Amino acid sequence: MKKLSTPQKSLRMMTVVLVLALIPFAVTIFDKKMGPQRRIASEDMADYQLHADHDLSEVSAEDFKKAYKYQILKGVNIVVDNDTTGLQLGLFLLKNAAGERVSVCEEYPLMDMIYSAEGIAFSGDIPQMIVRGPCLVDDDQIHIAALPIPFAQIFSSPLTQYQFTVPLAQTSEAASIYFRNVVEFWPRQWVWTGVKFYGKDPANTLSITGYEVISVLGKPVTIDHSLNE
Amino acid sequence: MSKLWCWSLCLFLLSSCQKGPTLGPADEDHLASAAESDCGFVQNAYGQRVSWKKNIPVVLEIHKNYPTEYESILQSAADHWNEAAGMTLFRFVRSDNILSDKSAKDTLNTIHWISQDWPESQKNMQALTNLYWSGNQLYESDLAINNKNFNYYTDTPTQPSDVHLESLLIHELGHVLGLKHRSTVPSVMWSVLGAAVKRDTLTVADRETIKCEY
Repeated sequence: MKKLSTPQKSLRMMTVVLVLALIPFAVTIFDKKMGPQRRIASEDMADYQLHADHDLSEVSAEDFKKAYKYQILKGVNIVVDNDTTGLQLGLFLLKNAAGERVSVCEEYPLMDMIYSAEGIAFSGDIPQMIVRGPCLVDDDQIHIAALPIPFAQIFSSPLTQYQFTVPLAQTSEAASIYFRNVVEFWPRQWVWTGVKFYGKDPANTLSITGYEVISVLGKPVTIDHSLNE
Repeated sequence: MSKLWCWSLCLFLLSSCQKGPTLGPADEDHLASAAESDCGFVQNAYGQRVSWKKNIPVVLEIHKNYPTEYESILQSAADHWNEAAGMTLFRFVRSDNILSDKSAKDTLNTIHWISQDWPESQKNMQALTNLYWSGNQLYESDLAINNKNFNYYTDTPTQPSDVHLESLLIHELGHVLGLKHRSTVPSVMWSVLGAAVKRDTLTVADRETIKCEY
């Protein structure tokens, strides 16, 4: 093996140091170049802040596909009221078939809020909870009213009861709660995994998945009742 | 000097890797998709497959009520998965540490054989496996076999309603590994095991599935 002289050694060392020094810059440049191709949805949300009045009636059909999701998600709040908990959503306006500007609840009067238990499965099946009820504009006129879930009542009920009815304050209609895959005990932590709005023609729907919720809000929306025990 | 640069580089790369779970890509109609394909596994809220990751073999403690004559069947059932994965996925130990006579969330992975105290509401279930995870890592699994409403056989059924024990255990151990029910491909993870039916051979789908995580 050829022995290197001291100047050669220094040169080689300097080259190695320079190459190592350049790697972080190269990674940063690569990251910036690739960034636009893998933008997370929350970054796109800024594009939709223009619709601060929730009016999507002038948005093109193509843009509407995603714009309504941002409007709903930017208004998400966990609402705790007496013995119930629910999720308030962002309201928006759209154009109906007659060209009139209406609220989403007029065009899509029924909604399903879908939740999954967090961190538990019974024989490979994750417990699910679907809350079905009317889409109602909340008193503040900028939210869709929460469909309340009476967790205390549910947790004290037998596991064989997989359906509950909840009266709503704003209307004579009631919400229905359905459970699937709850076997051994009532799970205490529930992650919101999406919402589906049904139009007057039930085939006409709008929906948001749990992955879309996370992509916009940065983390899952979890109703955690294990903390109350 | 070069060591300093090496450390800087390592810290830089590590800090780049410290972000939370990444979701799958968006498409024309959706803002994001599942982080991973399910590959037959239960998925967490991010769509990541949940499994024991490197924390194997899973040590399952056998409750005293589990019949000793059926321990070899348990091992045979495990061997199907071990062979498919090319590694030892399970280890069984008979234990006196299990305080409860039925499944309980107590940090122990347990196997119970329940002859009397099986809930009436679950009388149609031959067995039940509870899985618990945090992030995408399983940390507890409890398997309970219903001997109150079902009788089991190893070779030949004595009654038409008898259930093949090894087939049932292969299925339940699949759940212990993080597998969910399948319905569209031939699999030991079909949700229903008929009376006197032997389903004790892993299918191509089962073998592909297990390789996704182990």
